[in-house]
Amino acid sequence: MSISSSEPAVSGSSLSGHLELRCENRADGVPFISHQSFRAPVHLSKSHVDHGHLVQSIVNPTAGFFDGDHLESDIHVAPGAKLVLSTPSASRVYRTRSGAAAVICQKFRVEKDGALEWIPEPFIPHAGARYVQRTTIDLHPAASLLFFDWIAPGRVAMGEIFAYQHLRWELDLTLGGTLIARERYDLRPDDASLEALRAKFPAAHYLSVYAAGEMAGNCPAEALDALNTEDAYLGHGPLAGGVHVIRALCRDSLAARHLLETLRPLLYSAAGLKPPALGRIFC
Amino acid sequence: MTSDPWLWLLQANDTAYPSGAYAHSFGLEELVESGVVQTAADLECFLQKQVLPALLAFEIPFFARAHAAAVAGDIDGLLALDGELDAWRIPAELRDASRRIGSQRLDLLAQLDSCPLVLRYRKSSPRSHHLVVTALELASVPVSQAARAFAFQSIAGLSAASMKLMRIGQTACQQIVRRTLAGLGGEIDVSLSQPVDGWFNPLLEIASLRHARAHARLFIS
Repeated sequence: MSISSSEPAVSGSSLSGHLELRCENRADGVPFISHQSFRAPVHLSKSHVDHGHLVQSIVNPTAGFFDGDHLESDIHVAPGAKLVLSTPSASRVYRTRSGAAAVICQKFRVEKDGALEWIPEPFIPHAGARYVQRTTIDLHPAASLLFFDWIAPGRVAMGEIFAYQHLRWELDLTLGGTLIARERYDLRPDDASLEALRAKFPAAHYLSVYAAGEMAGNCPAEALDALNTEDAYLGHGPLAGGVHVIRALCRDSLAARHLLETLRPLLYSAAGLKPPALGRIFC
Repeated sequence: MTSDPWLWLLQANDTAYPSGAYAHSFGLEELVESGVVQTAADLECFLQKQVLPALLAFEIPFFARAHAAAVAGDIDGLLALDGELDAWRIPAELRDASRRIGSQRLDLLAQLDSCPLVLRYRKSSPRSHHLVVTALELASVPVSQAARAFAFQSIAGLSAASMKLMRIGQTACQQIVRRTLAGLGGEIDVSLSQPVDGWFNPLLEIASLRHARAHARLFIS
């Protein structure tokens, strides 16, 4: 089963945008954006270089995704280049009015000796939201990756806990063309699909991390084990090809934030690197 | 294969059939240890709301593909499905458990029924996933019945493990299995024609990932 981008036509008020980004090294080894093209609902802020990585923030000027919005993103990291992609604030998807979902299709390709970190702020689905996220990550066997996903239960402070209509998550991770990880799931409050998410903490935040290449070569297993607390239930282990996966359920956003703030420097440190500053308060 | 597929189905699903599954809890041990599954009611809820949905969304449709490949004698198809299963099973311990049980069943199958398809497949992939080997094993049985047998193995394996992990008796356990299986047949028939899809279970994934690193444990998985 491959990831398909076919979806019903969107309403007249929805946005159909794209993001194309290519990062490569200049002759002196400094990474830069050699190609960019984007259209609402996304915008790029200015990038900066830190610890040899180009750090680029992706901004959502509409402050969230609406039903029918469609975004196709194609991120390419050229040989030897190092790119960190983040978002300055939480990604939100609002209540659907038409019944249609917001659809995000994101492709990441990292070539030989390239490195990509994807560390968005949390994804917050509002009450009544419908959302589809399709991700493909194609890694060269000698590429590095740190890929975070953080799914919040909703706007908890507003009393919206798992009040969305439907989330669909799809992910394929390949290494040298070999499928390493495949995820497909639907989250719906009206069936048993949230059972496992709510069993440990009633308003659990879900964190998922894939690490590959030099970010997984020296896995700090004991230190990762020690991140388990009363507020965070975490496991980690190897996939094929030297890829490492970390999963965690956190009691609330503070626990998830704390875990992420500890986890990221830990993984960089284990790789003998310093984490590039993201240009925002966190990390 | 044996001349009577139904008797073969019974033999291959008998608890005395040495598949090695008795040594695995598939993450349940850690769920009990962490307090998520503590009572008979917890166990039933776990089976009904976490295990069955995954079985119906993912494993049964996947089993249908594997069974079709086995019936067609399509070794390349079986090998491709076996490789794909590694990508779906995120925790290494679950992948390993599946391959341990699969390889044990495959070894036995090769001795009980040394047909060319089984021998050629075993030569190509001696450490295969349990699901793929069961499909090969039960290729002579209609897919709807073979899928029921596979589903039964999954439920029975977890319930057997629960008796070693929790304060639960045999009768209570069988009552839970009985209620869990009630109505499952019809759902399996629907599921057989569905496309393969996943099921979100971060809790069981984390439990399995943690179990692999536990200092003390009763089960291999």
